[in-house]
Amino acid sequence: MFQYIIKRLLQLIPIMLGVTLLTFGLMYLAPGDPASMKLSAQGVPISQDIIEQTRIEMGLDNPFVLQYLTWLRNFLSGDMGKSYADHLPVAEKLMRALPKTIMLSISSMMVTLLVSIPIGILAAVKHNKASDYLIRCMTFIGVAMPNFFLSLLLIYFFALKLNWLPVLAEGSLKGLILPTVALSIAMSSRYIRQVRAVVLEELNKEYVVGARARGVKERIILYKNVLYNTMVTIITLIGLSIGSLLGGTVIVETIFIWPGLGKLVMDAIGARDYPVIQGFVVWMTFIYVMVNLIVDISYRLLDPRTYSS
Amino acid sequence: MDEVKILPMEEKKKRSLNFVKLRFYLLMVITIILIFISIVAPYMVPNDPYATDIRGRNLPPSQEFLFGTDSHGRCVFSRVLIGARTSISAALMLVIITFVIGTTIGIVCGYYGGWIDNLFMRIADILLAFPDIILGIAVAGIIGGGLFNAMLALGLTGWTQYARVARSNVLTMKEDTFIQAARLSGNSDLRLLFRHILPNIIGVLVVIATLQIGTMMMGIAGLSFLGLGVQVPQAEWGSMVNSGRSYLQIAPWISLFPGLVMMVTIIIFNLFGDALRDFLDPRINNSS
Repeated sequence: MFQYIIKRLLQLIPIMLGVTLLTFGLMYLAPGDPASMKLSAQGVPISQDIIEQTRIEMGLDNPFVLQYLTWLRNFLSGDMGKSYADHLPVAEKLMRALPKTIMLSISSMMVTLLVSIPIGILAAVKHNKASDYLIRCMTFIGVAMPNFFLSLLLIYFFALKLNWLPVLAEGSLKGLILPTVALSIAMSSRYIRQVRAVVLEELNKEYVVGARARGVKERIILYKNVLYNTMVTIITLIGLSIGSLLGGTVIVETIFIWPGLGKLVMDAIGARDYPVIQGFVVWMTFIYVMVNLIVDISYRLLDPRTYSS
Repeated sequence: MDEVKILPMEEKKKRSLNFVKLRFYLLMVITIILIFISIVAPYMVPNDPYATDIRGRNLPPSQEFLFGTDSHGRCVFSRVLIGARTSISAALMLVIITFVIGTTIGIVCGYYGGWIDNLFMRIADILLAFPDIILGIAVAGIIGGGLFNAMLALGLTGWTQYARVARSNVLTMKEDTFIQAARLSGNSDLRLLFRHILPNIIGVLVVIATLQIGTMMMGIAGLSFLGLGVQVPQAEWGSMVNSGRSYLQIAPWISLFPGLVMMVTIIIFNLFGDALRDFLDPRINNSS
């Protein structure tokens, strides 16, 4: 196991190098020169002299590889540059926003799991009955509903019409509810379908038939055996959906003005604040690959059969 | 107690097969109608989708303006129709392009292996490390918005799925006897790849592609909603939903209708994808 973790961590190195190279390189595809971008973000009147001077300060006269290596070295030592807009260190800005995004992601994940496991099992147990059809219908709609549209619907009904919840989250706990629901509905729909499929499959297996024949109560079969065996699927699902969850936070945070990373990066894009965008992308990617690593490890712990492969 | 009907196995199978077929043809017709509507949209609009009217702003749905008017007095219904063209054709095009590129890369990598395989698979690994639309947001955010950039941003990771599936299928098929026979009878590699291997793996790839249409549509709309995709005066569903955001209280129809139409469109494409999957592989019954 330990060897496996080390191996996987080593595999991450080239991937993260590629990610940083791509992220850094993107800036060179941007229209306009980074020096004049920086100056215009600061509102400095642009003249040729100042641009030249800034270019040298930023090291833009060096070859690309050297610039990248310098940037990477700084990045690894925690210096992600300074924001063009307000001169604050990017790392500090990201650090301040990160807990909010993690909070939103975790609450959405919790809600999703709490909702989808029982409903998925219910749909499987009531296979081809009315409640099963209803659940399947709902999940079909849930999957096809764009999260930005769903967010607006939630705002319209729960904040504007019913006045139950604030329109803007602004970091409060009460404000967390709507963004969480917005993120969990699509995710739950996907989970419910998978849980249902797995439970259906499990229920037809011989061990279940055997347990039934021995007179084991249906509820015990369901909660002890079947549920345990669906865990592997659920963990795989978490790994698969964490990407769209992180992507979704950007849209949902922007709509609800939730002060997380997504909101931060959208503001940075508006201000052409490249260091912040770069820092955001690398961090998000890092979180994503790390979560996936943890998922893979727990997958192996849960299902020893995957050891050998 | 209800009378329990026991159908012979054969008949049961036949019945579900017919259902699968019927469902597939029905959804195919609906999908084709949908695409047709999006193509002829410019000739179907009741009002000019770009004509602004300062006095007719935020009008509720009426006989003249089926979906009401937006904050510039433009007919929302006409804009939804025109927007169908942008949203649907952009998603279709993106899926087709990524499908062709991804499949080609996948087949070549799987068949030849070696450094070329290594190179593309490592690139795919790197691109897949970016979660969902984060790379899209970065690309469109840095090089600037616009439909083309948004499509480029989504296409950058879009091809990897086809490449991976095509590659793994080719890997297992490469050693099959019929491929070896074809090779021994002097077929060129190119002919082998596209005449003998491709037809055998294309089914699963087409299913993936069909199911990707909705995802891509959501991706483009999501970027447009954030202001990183289709730019403002042009009608597109995501940006239309966004433009109604500030008028949610007084004129909810501005966001509501484009969003609803988009949702229905995605549901249709998803249903079509599911139907196609069952149709191509009757062994999988439709319960899963």
